[in-house]
Amino acid sequence: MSKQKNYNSRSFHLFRNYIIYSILVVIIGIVVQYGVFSVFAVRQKMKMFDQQVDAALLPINERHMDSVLVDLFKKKVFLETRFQMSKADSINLSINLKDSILQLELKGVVIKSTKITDFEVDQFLYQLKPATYQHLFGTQSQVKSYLSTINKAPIVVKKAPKDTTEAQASSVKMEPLKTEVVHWMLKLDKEIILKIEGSDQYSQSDWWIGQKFWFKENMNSFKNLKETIRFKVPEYYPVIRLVISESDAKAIYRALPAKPFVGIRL
Amino acid sequence: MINDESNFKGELNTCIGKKGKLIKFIFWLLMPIFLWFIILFFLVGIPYLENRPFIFEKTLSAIQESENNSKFEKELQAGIARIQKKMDRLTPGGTYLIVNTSDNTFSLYRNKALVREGLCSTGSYIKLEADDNKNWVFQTPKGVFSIQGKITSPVWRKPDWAFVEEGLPIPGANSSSRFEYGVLGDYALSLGKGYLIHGTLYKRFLGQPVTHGCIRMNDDDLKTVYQSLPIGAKVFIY
Repeated sequence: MSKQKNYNSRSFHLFRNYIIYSILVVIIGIVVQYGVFSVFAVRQKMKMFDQQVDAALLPINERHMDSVLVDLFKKKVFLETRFQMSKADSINLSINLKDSILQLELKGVVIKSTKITDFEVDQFLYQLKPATYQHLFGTQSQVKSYLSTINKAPIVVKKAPKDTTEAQASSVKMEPLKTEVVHWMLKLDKEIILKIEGSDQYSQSDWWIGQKFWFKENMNSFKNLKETIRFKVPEYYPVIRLVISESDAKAIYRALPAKPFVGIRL
Repeated sequence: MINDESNFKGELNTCIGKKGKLIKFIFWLLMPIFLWFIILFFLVGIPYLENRPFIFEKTLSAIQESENNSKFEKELQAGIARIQKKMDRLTPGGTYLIVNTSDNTFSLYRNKALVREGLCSTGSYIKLEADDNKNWVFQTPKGVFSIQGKITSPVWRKPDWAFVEEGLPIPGANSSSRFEYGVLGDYALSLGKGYLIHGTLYKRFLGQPVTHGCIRMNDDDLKTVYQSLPIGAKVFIY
């Protein structure tokens, strides 16, 4: 009886171990697969960017450029982009990561300038060949889609009062100014994602709401995992993440038109 | 016998001495050539065997590259100066006003330098819906505008929404009840399409979005802005 019990217990342990090891192997397999396919995705994107490059620009790639030349080259590319953007009638965004400045420009006039307090750029963008860099940042990018924690126009609908008494009663009510979490994301037509976080020492908004917004957004990369399980190379979008003051993040977001142009200098 | 032997040895020594000198001479003559060939082998032979550019070719290309780079640097600098000049020309040299509708602030610039800034009030973003499917959105327009007219002691000609908002019946187009005196301050600057920069009786609301689309300022700021901005001056609203 006891022998039988021992045997049962041993086979149960063996079965349990088998299950645990199988799960572990599957998880490790998925992680490795995800890693390999993600690397493929990045390489594919780099190849795609390189192939898009205008052949006339290719000699730039052959040139050995020291840091001074690279700096001048990027400066010129950025100025050219800003000059192109100045021809548009609407407000546009210029991001200078070298000087940590984010600006709103209208017809070439800087109407708002704010300090970028922190930023992160995907290493991918620093690996670009000069011609690819010129192709990506030498012309203006246009915003394809927005995602934000705040409304573009905070419109409040109000019904017209029926008489003067009702009008007087409603005019006394003054809405207090709301503190809002200001985080927004722009997807550019050149397949780059800009993530802007409004945060500073004066921020009064709830930190958790912002984190929830980014968590939800990051959950979209779960799609990538599903793709890799199906042996498909996932989509890769290089990301630039910026932190600016909360009030400026709100003012800039609300000032931007539906499809603004964006100029970036790395 | 001894003498013959010693003579022979002497001749041999002389002969060996001459040959030795000759060998030494040839050795010192060939040594630099030999060394030159060794150097040449390192400079040319090995790169040739490895199928890579010769060292002097590299040096030449480095010189060429450095010349090209200095030329490229000059081109870049000239390009930057040219575009920077164009960009600088886009910013008005005279006086212009920038209005921030999010923070409800304004900045007045003269010769590209900030001369005054302060609070203002802009559109409330209220959408007023009347019973007859009419609606109005009280929003300050964004973009670049220019001063189209300047008025002193402006009179407000109340539009329809002003009556709807107060729960009053809409009077006729030229009814006297449409005209209000003294509510717009001492000055008004027209931006077109009925939008004005004007004064206000409700100074406690400055810094808040409370207007119907116009830009309100306090008396001192309004006076400065009125005196500084000529007709045609640019107003940037964002």
